Amino acid sequence: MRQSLYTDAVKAQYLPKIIKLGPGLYGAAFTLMKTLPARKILENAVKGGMIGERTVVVETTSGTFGLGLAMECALRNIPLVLVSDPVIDDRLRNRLEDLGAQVDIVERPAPTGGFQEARLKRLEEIMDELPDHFCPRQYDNPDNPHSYAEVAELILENIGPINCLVGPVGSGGSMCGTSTYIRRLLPDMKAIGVDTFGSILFGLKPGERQLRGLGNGILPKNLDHRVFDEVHWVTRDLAYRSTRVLHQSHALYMGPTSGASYQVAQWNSDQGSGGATVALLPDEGYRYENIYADVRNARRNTRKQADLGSAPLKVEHPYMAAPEWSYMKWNRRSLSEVFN
Amino acid sequence: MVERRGHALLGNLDGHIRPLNGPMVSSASKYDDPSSPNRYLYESGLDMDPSIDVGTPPHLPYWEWRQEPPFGQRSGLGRATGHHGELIQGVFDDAYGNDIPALVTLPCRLFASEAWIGSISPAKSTEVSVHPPNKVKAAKTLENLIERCLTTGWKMHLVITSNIPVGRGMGSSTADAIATSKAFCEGFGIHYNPNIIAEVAVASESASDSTMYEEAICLFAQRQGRILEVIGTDLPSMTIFGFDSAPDGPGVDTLSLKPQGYSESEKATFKALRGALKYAISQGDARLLGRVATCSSLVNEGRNPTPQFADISTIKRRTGAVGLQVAHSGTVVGLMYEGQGSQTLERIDKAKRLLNSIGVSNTWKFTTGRDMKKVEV
Repeated sequence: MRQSLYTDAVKAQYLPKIIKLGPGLYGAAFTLMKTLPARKILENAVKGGMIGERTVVVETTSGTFGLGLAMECALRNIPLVLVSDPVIDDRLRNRLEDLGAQVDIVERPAPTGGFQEARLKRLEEIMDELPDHFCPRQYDNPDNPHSYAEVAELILENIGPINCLVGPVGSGGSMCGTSTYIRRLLPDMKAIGVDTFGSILFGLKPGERQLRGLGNGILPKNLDHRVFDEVHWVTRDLAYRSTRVLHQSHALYMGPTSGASYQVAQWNSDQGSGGATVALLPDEGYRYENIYADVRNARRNTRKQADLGSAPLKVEHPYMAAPEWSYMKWNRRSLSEVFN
Repeated sequence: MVERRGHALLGNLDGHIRPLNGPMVSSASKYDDPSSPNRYLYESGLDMDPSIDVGTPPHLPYWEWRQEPPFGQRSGLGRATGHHGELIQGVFDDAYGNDIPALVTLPCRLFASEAWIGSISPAKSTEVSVHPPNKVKAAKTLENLIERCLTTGWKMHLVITSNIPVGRGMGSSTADAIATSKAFCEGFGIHYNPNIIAEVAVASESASDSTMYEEAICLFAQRQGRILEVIGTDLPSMTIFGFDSAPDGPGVDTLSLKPQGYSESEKATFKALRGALKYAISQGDARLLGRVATCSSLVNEGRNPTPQFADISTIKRRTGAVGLQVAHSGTVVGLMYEGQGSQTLERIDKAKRLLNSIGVSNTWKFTTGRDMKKVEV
């Protein structure tokens, strides 16, 4: 529903702006994508009676979903506890606390499972202390993918019959949700997931992820592998470079996951399959100024480098993915189908 | 000054009286003059604001109008088309995020109702007789209109003529109600306001389609009687090949259908459908519109299944139809074909043969959109 008077700030920002980035290439640029699932999940929890007058919302996050939750909880006046780890930057933490969230930092990683495991343990402890709590569980909550139907609506309304959707994958919500609902009308639409090295989402070995904001160390239930036609693994450097290209060429100031998504979408569009390619660009660049704060002649360098590293390596199986930009034809298979 | 007797006719439905053809009456003095041709207006209780132009009622020749027509000679005639089921029906959010049941009707000019209202005279209590006597809903609509727009009771006779099949989801009762409303408006010189007609239609039938909005394609909240969103003005250029999927069945009593509960996933699907619908109508994309209608009829299969749906889907595929639309509370089905040319007609001929083989023989076709080419009938 298009409108120009909004009931609140989240509603005013939660839908992306569709921006043309070239012939047959569009970006769906979000201010903060995670406000969309945060709103839907809390809205349905309130409607369903899972959040009452004294309920505390608890969640583990070090990223933008926490910010989305904090905004929504501030509007609804719901207390919020977020469990995070030292990776969280001070600015985000300040902002969360200003919105009234209580940020609980886990100091040490668990012996097995690292910080993710330690955060989950701490979350369990908090939930035991607070009998009246609600945990949104963005990785498993089906309201997360459902919330992206509005993005499908927006894309279909503005671009119509698109050919391909590209987006970073973390919880699986945005790519699986948007693709599923666009495919109710365009079953042949191609879905391309963008992942990174160190993420286990599409069968790589777990490891340290240099590129944050996409990929995952655990397998979320909301990730339906059978949605994807193609999977790309991108490096941090490539993502940073194309984030700057996005800014330098299109004046779009976005975060690094947007750069990764844009790079893959641009490549797919250049392959000349025809039709429109849409890249999901999840958040703005203000949190990631370190990417932009670079040497004086970065502008010339990034352009040159982006031209150099502009073709991915095609692999037949995830274990062949080299630590450089790689892709494979996933062909809408489940993880076990790919591995057997 | 005019002696005010209260508004026998509250003047209008929406605050305006449509100036009709005929001499304009604008000075108050004409009302004061007993020999004025407008005298019957207040003599008869039809006292109005003299600053508003009244004009000549269209059904009376000018010379008759000058001579104080008796009430028996007042009459009104109205016509309304039926529809061919829906392009889409489901729940959609309004500006406040509420889920509202709504639909987009596919109008069809092959089927229509006509209403005539005559023998109008003031009475102590309202008395409406109707022919044929089974058109009870139309009579109820007329009573609603009288109660809403006129202060005293009235006696009148209503005659409905209609070729819209009943119980097939083609809007027979709404078309009757709209034709009645139009006849009423004509008989009393009232501006025809579709918003009020929608409210009255919902009040007398509890749900209605949107055929009263003749010039717009709108997402219409059928249980609230209001427009959720105006989608556009024209459908893409298409030929619809229509038939009744259960011609011998008992039909569906629209009023007996309960409001449907939709799952989260279905609600999300309707959001995507709404976006695609807006694109298809603004860009004239018949293929995408066909997919929207097909998807909506698939969701509907879980609620009001269309007889022989699987066979019809096969025929749709084999004849290259862009879509399949159904009456979500009925049995009528339309195969949607892009364009209106000879290739389209060949496809429809093929579909007709295939339909014959599954026992459907009574079919019809009509076109949509502005692309008016010669149609072989």
